[in-house]
Amino acid sequence: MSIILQYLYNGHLEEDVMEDIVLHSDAEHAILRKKERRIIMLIFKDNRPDTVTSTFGNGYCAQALVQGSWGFASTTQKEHMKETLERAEFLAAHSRRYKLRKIELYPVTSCTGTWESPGITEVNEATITELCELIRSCQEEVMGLPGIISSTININIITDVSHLWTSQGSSIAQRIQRIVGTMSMVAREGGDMASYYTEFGGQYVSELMSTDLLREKSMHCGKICQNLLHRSLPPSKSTEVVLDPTLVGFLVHEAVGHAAEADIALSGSCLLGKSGHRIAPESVSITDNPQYPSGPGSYGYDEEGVPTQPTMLIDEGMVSGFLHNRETAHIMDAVPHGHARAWNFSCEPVIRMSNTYLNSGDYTFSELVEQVQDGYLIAAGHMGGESDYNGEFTIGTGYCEKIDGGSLTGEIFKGPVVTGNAFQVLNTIEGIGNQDLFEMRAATCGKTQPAFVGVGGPPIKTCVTVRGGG
Amino acid sequence: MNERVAEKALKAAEQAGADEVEVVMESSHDMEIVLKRGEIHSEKDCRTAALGIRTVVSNKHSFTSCNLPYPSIDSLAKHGVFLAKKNVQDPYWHHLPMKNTPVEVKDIYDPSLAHLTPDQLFAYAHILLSTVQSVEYVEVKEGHIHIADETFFLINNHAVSGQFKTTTCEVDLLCTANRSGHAECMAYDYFCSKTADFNLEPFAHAVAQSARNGLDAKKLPHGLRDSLLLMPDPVSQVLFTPLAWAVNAESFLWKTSPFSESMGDQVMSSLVSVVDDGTLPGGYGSRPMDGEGNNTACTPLIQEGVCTGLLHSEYTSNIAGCVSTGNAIRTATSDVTVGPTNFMVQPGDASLEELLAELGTGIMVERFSGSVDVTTGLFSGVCRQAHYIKNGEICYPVKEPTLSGNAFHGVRSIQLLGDSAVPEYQGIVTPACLVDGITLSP
Repeated sequence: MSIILQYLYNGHLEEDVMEDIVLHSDAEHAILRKKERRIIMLIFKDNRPDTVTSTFGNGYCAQALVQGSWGFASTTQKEHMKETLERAEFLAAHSRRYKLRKIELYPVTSCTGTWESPGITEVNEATITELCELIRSCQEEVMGLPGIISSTININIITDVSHLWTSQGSSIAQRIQRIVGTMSMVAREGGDMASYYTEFGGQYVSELMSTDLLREKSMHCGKICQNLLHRSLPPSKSTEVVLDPTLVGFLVHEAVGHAAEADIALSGSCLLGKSGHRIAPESVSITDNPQYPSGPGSYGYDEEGVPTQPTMLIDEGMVSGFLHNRETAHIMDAVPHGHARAWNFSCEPVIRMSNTYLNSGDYTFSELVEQVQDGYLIAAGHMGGESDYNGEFTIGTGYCEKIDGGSLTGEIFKGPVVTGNAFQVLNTIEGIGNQDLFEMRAATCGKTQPAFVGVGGPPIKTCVTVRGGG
Repeated sequence: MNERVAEKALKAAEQAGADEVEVVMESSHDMEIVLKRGEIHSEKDCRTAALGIRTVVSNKHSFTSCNLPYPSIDSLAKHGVFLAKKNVQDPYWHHLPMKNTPVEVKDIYDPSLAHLTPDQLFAYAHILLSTVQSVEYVEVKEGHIHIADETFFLINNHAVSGQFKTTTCEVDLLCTANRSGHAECMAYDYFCSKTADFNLEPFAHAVAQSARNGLDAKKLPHGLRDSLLLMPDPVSQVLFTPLAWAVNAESFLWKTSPFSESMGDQVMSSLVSVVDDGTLPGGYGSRPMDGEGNNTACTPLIQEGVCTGLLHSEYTSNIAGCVSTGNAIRTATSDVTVGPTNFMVQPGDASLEELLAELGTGIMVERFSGSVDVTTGLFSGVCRQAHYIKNGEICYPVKEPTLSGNAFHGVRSIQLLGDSAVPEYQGIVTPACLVDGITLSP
């Protein structure tokens, strides 16, 4: 039995064992990670419990850089940690001849640190019971709305405890607790059906438990769904619009944020080579901020052990920064701000956004609407849109309302898909809402693996193509 | 896989007061290569084991799970019982499956795929890269080759038990055609096999050629009638994903399906027949038993346009007073839900040439990107890889027109079905079809 395994079996501190394994790696650089993911998932459908789930997902992974080539391996058995690092080293060495480029990493100093979400709530069996009651009472209320025939409320409390050790001597511990929820409602009346779906979340479990937040959200969702009965899609056309904060958030995330992820930029996104170039009016600034207070995508260190910092992607209309891991930071000679993220222990870190948002302007909501002569207020963007990294985007929406002569008309339509080029949309911005109108929403981004992100901004007045009916 | 751990969990839950217990174990070995920008980007080797316990106490249920090894299976089982006791009663709960006779399903496990070496995986990657590179102007933007070797074991306290192994190879490829320094058009496709008996070269060549064919796209011509040739990807997305939801017993029983009052009625074109077949040899969703131990089956859902069947789990079948169709979907770390296995739209007899000839002049759509509301059937989005057809001939690519309509109206207007069905996402296997009544606009 190796010395390492003897350590484990003799009950030495896991931290010491991991540190010992990674420091003795033959790789140019090695990272070991441990992640414990505790999930409480409560789903209630139409006042009946669909699932009350409690999961404990623990696992370990190793990444090794050998002759400029990365290898990755994972396991659920801590006794196999050394073997797992050896598998990662084997894959890295073995794949070297198939790779065209030799990877070099941006130098960072080793660090020791901890980070924790604000106000972490101990989720015990009593908390689960309390939450079940809360969901049921919200559901009873919303099912009482005329026309609503079905309601599903899904709440997940996800607590991640992670540790990371590098061969450089870094040692990072983090505890992040998020609430991620969805609500979907279905209304039916006289042969017509309507549905409405919304996501919510952030690092505010205690707030959800202690306020009427859930009740307000479920009633809001139910009332919108009711109102979508007997509505059609709007006609397809390019038009003036006010986009609500969710759509602005998704637009910024899908079309600008992804294009600013350095791995995508290097494969030819529209932002490559544009640093310092003006691509939007001076009023437009876009930030990615892993330190956004209680943000759905907030964290202190990334999966390479790099401490996080905010990054201005667009600063007063000029391309300003990209999101990096250490590999792309070396290629583009930029300082990494901690954007190498991994969904769980069996996923390699990839460059991801955190909380990405359009910075606020100074317009009130009525001032934005007043600028639209013939168009729509479009609301409730859906995640799962896409962009081709040249800024062309496609985003689903929840509903829209006709604006005529600068006033909302009350004429509601089912949600169309909106498309356009993000940079044309940014260039045609004629108003950005003020800080009071700013919202940050939770979403799950799906770039090769899921990631909890925040998407946000204030409403804006601009032009898009509405893809609705004929 | 150590099945004694499952037996231990089952006994611990019973001793803690559970009326019914079901324990599921899964182990998997996954290898993956990621392709980016015309080369191998990274590769990984992951080994995972997990256990899940479904517990029922007085018609109150809970689900707990952990990755293995876990320090105390006993405490996990007791935790499950406690959660069930604290839950509210489910008035519709009857019981877990009481007996099972897993069926034999062929070609879902291939030892040569399970024991694939890293070198063989790298060779697959090389085939994809070199094949795409051989097509002028085209390169691999991103791609994945994923091999999974999985074992599933289940036991419940009604003496239901079973075990099976599956292997899967999934490949996806996104190619760009680049003639002027930037990506002018893209093409994407997906491929899946349960055995190692496949050839990636024609797949890669087809994706690359599709990207190449997208160059020089023109605007949608005016004055086209609303008749379209939809290839299997958009057919599965816009027409049959909502249909799979509509014949799911969960939505049917809770009246969120548009077919809730239409069992036995004509709900779509009489050309359309659909079965869900969990026993299909080599099928993506094929397995001898479902996620709670019931044997899988071939279930008729739509026969010549008439709604004749539903997808059931044990839970929904007990409510409806019928037998489960073996459509309980789950992993060891997730509770049971109802879903399709291989949702198969029966092909017609028209070749692609005949479909094009029947279309005459119009648009053929290969990909769709947009929003589909599975409850209402409403969809709208952008056609990717669309082509203008004149007199039955493919003339030129069309710049991303809008496609919108309602799936439940669309399936009533299917005019002709292609003669070969292709597996698409979420287990939907469908042919191309000629359809009226879907709106296309520039």
